[in-house]
Amino acid sequence: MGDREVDQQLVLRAQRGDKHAFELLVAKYQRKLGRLLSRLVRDPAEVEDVTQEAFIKAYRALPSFRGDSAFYTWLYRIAINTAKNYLVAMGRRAPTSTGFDHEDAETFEDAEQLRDTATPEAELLGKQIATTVNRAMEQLPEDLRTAITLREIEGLSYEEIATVMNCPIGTVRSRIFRARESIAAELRPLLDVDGNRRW
Amino acid sequence: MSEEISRLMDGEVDGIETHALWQSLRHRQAMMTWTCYHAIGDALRGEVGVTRDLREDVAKRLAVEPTVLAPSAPAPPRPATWAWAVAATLAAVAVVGWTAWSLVDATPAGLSGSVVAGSMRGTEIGPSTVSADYLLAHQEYAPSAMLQGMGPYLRDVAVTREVKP
Repeated sequence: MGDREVDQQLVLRAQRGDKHAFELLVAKYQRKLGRLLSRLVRDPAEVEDVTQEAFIKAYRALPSFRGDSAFYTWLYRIAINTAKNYLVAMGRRAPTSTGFDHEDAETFEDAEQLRDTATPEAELLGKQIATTVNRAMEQLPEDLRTAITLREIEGLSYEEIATVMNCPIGTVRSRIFRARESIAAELRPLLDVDGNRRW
Repeated sequence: MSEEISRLMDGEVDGIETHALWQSLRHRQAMMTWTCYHAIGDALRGEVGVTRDLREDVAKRLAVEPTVLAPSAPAPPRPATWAWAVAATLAAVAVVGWTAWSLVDATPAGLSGSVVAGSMRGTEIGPSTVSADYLLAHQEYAPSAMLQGMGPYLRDVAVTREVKP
């Protein structure tokens, strides 16, 4: 079961009336979607509104999602349309092109441009998260750091990582989990700020 | 529990385990772990969020939304169903074909006999040496294209008329 299958299971559960399953998808994709929409809607407060609206529209449209494409690709289209409609409603001109197509939705990376659009607060927040995660990564033993890198950045499966690292799959499973827990221990204090939960 | 969530988000769990894990993710702590692990992955890929955490705001709005109930897609026919149908059809064809083929004497000896029989002419068939009385007595077993099927029921009847002096 890959990443797409995990999403598909959550979508199926949501389509059967399980709203919590959809919340798991929100937790997973809100950062990615927020970054995407910040290219269209410059004001961070408006980005939040449009991101929320895009998720609600996606929830309402769930019966029409049949799994022909990846869930994020489908969500991406809804988000783009939501942002364009928002800009039109606000009397602003929607961009004729987002500058990247559906395939780019899966590999969207343009941190330089985001630095221009994010507010100083958002930029600081992002830097705090990145610094915390990077520092926690540097403190990890090499085998844990390699395992989590191969998984999260290279996107390898446990089986592929086991081959690369020449160890059993069970060891890979354990290393990735321990790496995540070590980083999470540093990150949780930043995320658990009540009233203004952060990344 | 956190290790199971770690495997779940990587898609490294089997179907039976998945159902139980989705249920356990209803607990707040498990949800926080799910969110935190995904935030770590995003940060490692350089996908830092530009907004605050919107999950709870979206959850509040979802709570007042009508529950979505999508019609479930019709389940595709199980492979076993059509596989059995195909297997039964093939078996029936095989039995009928084998039975029909086995009734035909297609051996070389049988074929050579057919050739000999086909090459014979009427003039080459000599007069029967069987006595006429024998044939008359057993004519019900004789082949007859015209009376096939009725032969056993045919009986010779003779009328003897007494001539009065």
